Amino acid sequence: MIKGYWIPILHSHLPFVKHPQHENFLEERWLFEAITECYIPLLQRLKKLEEEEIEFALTVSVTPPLAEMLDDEHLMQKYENYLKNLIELGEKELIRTKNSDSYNVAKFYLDFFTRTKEFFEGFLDRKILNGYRYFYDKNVLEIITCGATHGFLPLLSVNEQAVRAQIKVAVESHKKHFNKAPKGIWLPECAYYDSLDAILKSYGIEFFILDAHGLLYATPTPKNGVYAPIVTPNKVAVFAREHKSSKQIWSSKEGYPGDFSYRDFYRDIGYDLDFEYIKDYINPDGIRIFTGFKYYKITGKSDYKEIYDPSAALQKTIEHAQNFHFNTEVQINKVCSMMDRLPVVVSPYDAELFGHWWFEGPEFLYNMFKEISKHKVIKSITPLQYLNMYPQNQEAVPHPSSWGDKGYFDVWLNHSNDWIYRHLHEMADTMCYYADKYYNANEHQTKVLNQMTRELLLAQSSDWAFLMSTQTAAEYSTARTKEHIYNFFKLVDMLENNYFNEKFFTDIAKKNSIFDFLDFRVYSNHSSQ
Amino acid sequence: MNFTDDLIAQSLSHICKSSGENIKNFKIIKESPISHPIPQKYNKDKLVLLPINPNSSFVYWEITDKTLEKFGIDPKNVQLSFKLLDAANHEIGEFSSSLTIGNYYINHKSGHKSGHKSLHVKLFLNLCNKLEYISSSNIIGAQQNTPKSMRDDLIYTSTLLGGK
Repeated sequence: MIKGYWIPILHSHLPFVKHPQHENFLEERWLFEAITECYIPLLQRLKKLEEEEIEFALTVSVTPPLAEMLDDEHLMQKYENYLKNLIELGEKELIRTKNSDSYNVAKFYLDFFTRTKEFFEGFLDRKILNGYRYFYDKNVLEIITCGATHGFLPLLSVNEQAVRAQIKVAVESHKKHFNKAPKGIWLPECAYYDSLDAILKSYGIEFFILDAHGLLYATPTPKNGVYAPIVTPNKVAVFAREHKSSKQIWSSKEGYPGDFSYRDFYRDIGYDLDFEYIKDYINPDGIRIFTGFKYYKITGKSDYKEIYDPSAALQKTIEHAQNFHFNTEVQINKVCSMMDRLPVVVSPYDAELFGHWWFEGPEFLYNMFKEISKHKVIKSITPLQYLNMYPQNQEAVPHPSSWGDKGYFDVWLNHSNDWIYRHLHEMADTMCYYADKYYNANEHQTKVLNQMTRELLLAQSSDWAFLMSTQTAAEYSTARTKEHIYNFFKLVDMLENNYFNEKFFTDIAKKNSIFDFLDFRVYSNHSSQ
Repeated sequence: MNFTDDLIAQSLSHICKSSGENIKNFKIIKESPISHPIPQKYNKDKLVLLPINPNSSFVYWEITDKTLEKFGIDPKNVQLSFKLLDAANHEIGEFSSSLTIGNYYINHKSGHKSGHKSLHVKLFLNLCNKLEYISSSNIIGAQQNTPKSMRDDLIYTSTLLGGK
């Protein structure tokens, strides 16, 4: 008998990074690593579940910048080269480790990367999005959208059109890549501000997700806590993160990923092996990087590490899935007697956590769905399926919040990144002005105005402020933000002074090529409704 | 029977912590030596208030020479006064600056707890101890404090992006 529901949600996002002028670019590896360790392993597990006729329901956001990158010919060609190099390194590793304890792990990696390539070229037909579309069309995967470039909406909202553009372009991007309009949205950084629901509603969004306090501080207080959604005054449903289920996976101390049997993230041959041996597989300028070949398990809290045992680690995912199922059932039992309906536990995670940081994460998810199927006391569903069962929900006004550190906007607005907002706001105001002024622009002007819109949207990505804040890739993030500001105002200058710098335009249009469907009029007040 | 309090308590009772602690930093390569100079100012009067958390907000401004000239003020010798106000125009706090382009972090008590539902800033020119109104910022909503038991150290930093 079903006692409650589980809504697992994976937020898949990377900022748009494309550097066609370089054969190798470090930050492009963010995408390649995520494809190899997160997206393909997840899709492989979903395929396996389907083949084993195990029922599952998963909600995944595929953000517009990620979808655009996964659909980009240049980046996908680079990805094929990346995968080819991994397999080549895997073959070398078999020889190098032949008489050592690491040999079995080397074999495991060669097999892992070979199977990744086969899946990529076979089932996916060299297009990662094919996998997502396949399950989306079968209604076992609910794909939701996000802000067009993951803009932090509360801090962009001083210009409402900037928020509208983030949502409208996101919806259009979703239609382009998935052939249907999104029903739900993962708000960038789960960041909500008063009245955002009206804008979401106007673009057909039916639900979004907040961190727990965004719902618990709603007005009036939701009677079911986080165990049922609320509906905003503009009739958009809001689901909230349930912290117990989050803790089991996100916690660095108590979370499953820290189990000593699992693969150690840090020890990687990119750092461990002789430079001469590894130089062709690290960054061309000699900077050592993670290669993905990691031979040790976490082992313990000291630097002493033992050889990774993939079979033991996979076995551990079964135990952890059983434990997660047990705890979720306990939690559901605790709250169900207090409710007039079956409770729902919403568990949102970064998709990149599963496979990159927690290498065995995709297998855990697979086993979790198997556990659910075995016991039949919890049912995995999507937010839409819940809303179909329970169309009437308590009306309340959600509280402004985010899922970042301290729960509000501190991560995206502090001394490290506050300088960006003056420029982002000015760019948005300027964009509105020119979108109205050149509403009937000629072909040439349209090209310039569309590229201005791209530069603005790319500058708005919350990733840059985040990375400045965490002091990771801060230099790259600062450079990217400045580049987009510079490009934007250079384009304004071309428009205003009626000239066209062909070389400049061609270079930035090739690099910052996101959203080929983009129409600058998204920033016009004429199209605000 | 109303179980709201119990359900809220259940919703609050655990602490989440990042799994992304202690991640090595990525070394960054510079893309190219090309520099991208950006505007230092926009020559537009602007006063913008942004919320950060229940206890602080951020304000930035630019006052043009043209505006100062209207009041016969030398741009190099300016005294600006800023007042943080609630929806009923009750003053919550103030600060001053001699910069025509600047920003400031405003610390204030939790607006929501203090009964302030919204906040905004007004900018005045200080003319011989007489305040001349210049402009008002946008209005922001006040936020509530979050219970520490719920939010303590809740952070995840993507390892893909070199998080630590």
